[in-house]
Amino acid sequence: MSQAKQGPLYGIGGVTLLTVLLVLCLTMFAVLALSSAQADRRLSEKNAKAVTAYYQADNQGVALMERAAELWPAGAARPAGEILAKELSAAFAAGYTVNAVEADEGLLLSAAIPVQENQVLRLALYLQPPEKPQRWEIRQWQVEPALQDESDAAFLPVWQP
Amino acid sequence: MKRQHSRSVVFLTEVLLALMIFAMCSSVCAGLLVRAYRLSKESGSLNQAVLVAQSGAEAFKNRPEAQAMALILQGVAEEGACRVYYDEGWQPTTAGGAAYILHIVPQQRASLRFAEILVSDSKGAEIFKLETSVWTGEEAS
Repeated sequence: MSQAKQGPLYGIGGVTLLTVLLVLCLTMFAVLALSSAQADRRLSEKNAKAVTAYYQADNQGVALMERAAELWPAGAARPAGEILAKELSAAFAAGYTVNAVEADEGLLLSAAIPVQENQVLRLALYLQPPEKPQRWEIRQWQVEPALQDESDAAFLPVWQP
Repeated sequence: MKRQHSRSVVFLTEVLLALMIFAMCSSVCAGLLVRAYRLSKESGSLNQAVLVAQSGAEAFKNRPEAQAMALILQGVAEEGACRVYYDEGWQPTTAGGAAYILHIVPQQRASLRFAEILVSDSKGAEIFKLETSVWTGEEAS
């Protein structure tokens, strides 16, 4: 009688339980590792895209310098700021305008070239007369956040006593 | 006796089934882990390639001649272009042990000097590409 009751009851089903637990742990670990690697990959691609966008904007700035220098060749009189600005804006009308004003002997050019959705490359360049040894003086060449709309300020009303 | 025998059979069957299920699931998980490792390696390579390309671009802007760039970047000037060889750890090395290559090809148009910068692996597959330019004010001879 007692022999019939011998044998551990936990033997049946214990292995299955253990297997299920192991498989669950392994699957979760693998899925987490894959998810983390995919997130890393997306971040790397975003970084690469941002760097490419910066250098594209940088190249546009350099092209602007070349064109502006061509419009004021050696022996020619200083062009009017407005005319230069109009010529440059027409040549580089990719979502930004170029401003030019006469300053001292040269011309001060400014532009905000879009880099990405929320960033611009802000340029302030001083073009010297052709006879000067250093033609360009870079006063600003900086990536800045793009200006938000004025209406954004309305989201944070501050109580004034 | 008969009951014990049948319990052993059931237990062994259960163990076999559990082993089979574990083997199938672990093979799937191993595939996922291998894919995760490969993705992780690729994103590491891309990050380093971007940094190396940026260094190349800034070296070009500073000194747009192949010889000068080769000196700055610890590479070699070949046929008017600059090549820098990197090992698996992205350290400059010789052509023989290179796992990655930075290739800068400078060109000139009027007073503008521009360069195509390419980072590739030892098999020639492109990892990252960049174009940069600099105004020198010197007309091409």
